[in-house]
Amino acid sequence: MKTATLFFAACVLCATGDDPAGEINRQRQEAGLAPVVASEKLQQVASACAPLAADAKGLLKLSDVRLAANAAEYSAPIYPLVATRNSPTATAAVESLLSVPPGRAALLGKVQDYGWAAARGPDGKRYWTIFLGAGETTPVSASAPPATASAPTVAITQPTAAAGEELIGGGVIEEVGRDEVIRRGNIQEHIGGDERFASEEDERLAQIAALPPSDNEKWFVSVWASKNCSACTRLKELWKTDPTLRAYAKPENPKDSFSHFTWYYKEDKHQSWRLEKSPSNPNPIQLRAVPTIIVQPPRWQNTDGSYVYGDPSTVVLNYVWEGSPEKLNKAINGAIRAYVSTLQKKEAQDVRNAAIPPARGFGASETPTTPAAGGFGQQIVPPPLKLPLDDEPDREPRHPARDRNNIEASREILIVNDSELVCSSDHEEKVLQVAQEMQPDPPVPVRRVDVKKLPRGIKVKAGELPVVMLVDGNDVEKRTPVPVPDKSWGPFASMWFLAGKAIDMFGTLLIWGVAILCFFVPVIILVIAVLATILWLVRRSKQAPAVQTVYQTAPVPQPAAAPAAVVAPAAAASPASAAAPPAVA
Amino acid sequence: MIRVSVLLLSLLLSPTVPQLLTVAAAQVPSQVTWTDPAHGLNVPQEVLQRYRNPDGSCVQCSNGMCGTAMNVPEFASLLDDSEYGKAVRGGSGPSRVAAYAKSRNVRIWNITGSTTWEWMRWAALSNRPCAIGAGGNHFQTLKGYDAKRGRWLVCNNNGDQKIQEYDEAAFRRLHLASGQWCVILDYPPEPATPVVRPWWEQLQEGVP
Repeated sequence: MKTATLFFAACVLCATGDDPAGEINRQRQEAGLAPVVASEKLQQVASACAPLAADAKGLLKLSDVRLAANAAEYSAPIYPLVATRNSPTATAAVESLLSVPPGRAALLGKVQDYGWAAARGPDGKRYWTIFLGAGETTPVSASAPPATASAPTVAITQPTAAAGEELIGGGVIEEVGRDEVIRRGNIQEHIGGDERFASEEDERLAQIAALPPSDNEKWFVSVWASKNCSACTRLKELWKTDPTLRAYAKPENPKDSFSHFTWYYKEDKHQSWRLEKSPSNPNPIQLRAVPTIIVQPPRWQNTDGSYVYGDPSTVVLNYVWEGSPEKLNKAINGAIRAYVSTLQKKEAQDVRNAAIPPARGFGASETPTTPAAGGFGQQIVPPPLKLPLDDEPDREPRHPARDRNNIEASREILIVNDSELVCSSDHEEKVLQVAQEMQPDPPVPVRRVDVKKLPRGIKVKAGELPVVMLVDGNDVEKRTPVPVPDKSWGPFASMWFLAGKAIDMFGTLLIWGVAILCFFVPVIILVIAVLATILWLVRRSKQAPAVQTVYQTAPVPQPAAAPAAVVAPAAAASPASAAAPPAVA
Repeated sequence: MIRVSVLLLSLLLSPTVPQLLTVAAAQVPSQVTWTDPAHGLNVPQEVLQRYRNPDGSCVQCSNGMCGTAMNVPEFASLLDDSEYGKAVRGGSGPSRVAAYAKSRNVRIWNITGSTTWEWMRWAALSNRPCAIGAGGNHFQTLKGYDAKRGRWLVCNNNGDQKIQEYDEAAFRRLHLASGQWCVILDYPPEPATPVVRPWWEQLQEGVP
């Protein structure tokens, strides 16, 4: 009944003749673009969707658009826009849409025809629904301008879908949108009554789970991996085939991907700065292990510049891959649900505290901004925070489900290991299997802890690493060491063991020998040389004065008395020789 | 002396110099932060210093910055020898860029002519950095567009690696001075630099 009333309201507004085409074409003319023309089929689609958009306060499901387009037999791509700022006139609605990137991209994109309708929502606001179409003959993408075919250098073909429905952003919906089914998880929706969803949380999650109609509305999924990591390689291969993982990201086809997907290697020197502390990045993320999956909200902005889902740098999920796509699906689903729920509660608080003017999201700047008056598409106003958030670098987000329910918050399974062994260990799967077998009922979260960061109350022997423990606070309820197995070769195990020991011993001796040769021998030679030099100097110093003393004290030899008989004839024979001194003996 | 005077006079009278002087007068050092999530190039200044133009390789420097931001190592390592190929140095035209993008198996949009305005706006609004012709015979990196203030944010690679802001008219002159050519990597935009904020504690507090 309500829907019928709104539909009537939409029709009434259509009949008033306040056509937005004038303003749209004026803007397009200024931009040098061809004008759009009214399409009867698109008018039908817009009229069908306007009450739904107004009823949901500006939220319009793509599945509803598809249904309406099929009913109207409109086959070309449609770019649905909803102006949610309670614009009084069509001109104001077009201006508000032009002020946001997705709206501007569509209105000034390669579109040919349009349809429109307006309806009042339950909050009394007027919602303008403007549908732009690419024309049924020439489908083009509005997500990026088409490459010029006659470019003078290289002809580049813009990736476009050959068949299927293409929306803003280029996403193509399959015949059965299995990906969206996976992303939605447990949501019960009732069409045709006053209440469509069981809770507002479900409603918001359903909106998020749909394929984002524009590039800026995509969430960010990043994987941090290592090149020497078998689990990382397996995950990368799995992401090419596993439907659950591909529901969140299609690495080889970014256009059809639900999220912007990036695969980082922590060894990559061009990316390692993202993990390092610097003036520009004072609180870098800390990787507990690899591969780690990080989920961040989109950069989608309201008209006032605030972000629809809070600051896009906020880490919504920091998840260490445990080998199961289903677990990852649950973790992402749970984290987004909890995050969006928090935003909603903050929004409600913001409405109550309307006297507080600045509207901010998580991590938004402290500079007060003008209050958000609703935005394009959705109306999530990032709320003010009571206290500034402290960014603790070592603090990592706990699993939101655990915190939210606060059930057995301190009970968990710890996988304790040396951080250097987390990835390289060959029996990683065995450790995870042990952890899975240890799960109590109800299950508790699994956390990896480095042995150096283990709480003081819990003791672990070095030899038993890695070890899986079920703990409640500091009490260890169960403990299963999963040590790295010795390499065994059947019957020759003992021989190999002894050989290994012998090699170890030989290696030790070799190292000692080399150390002695390289260090001790030169030192000993040096010491001996020094000692020998000292000894020689001492001996020399002792010997030298003794010789001198002997020389000085030696008696001067007296000339022997020559027989007079001999001297007399010589002196007589040679008078010169008689004057010569007597010879020293 | 006369020769020098004649040379200076001829330089001043040439069409590019007044254009460059007006561009230089219009450019303003920006106050935006390097890791502002609203813009495409969220790379810190100290990392961008690696892409200082050493030998007239401004095109490769700009493309390298884009490669670092968008996690495309094949382009991030353009200036050095790497597993993706030998260093690409010196001046480049669109055909050379296309050739090395093809040889390194990198998807790019290599746009020349009148549609570069549309492409640059799209890149900025979808948070992708973009290597653009900017200044006389020079290439720089388009960091983003501040829609509120109508300012284009451009990062130079000639040493200081500072962000300069240009209004529409100045940006137009800047781009036209080099000829209309821009290169955009066909990859998803990078996520904002992740920051751990305990948002879940807000949930636990139980907002009434």
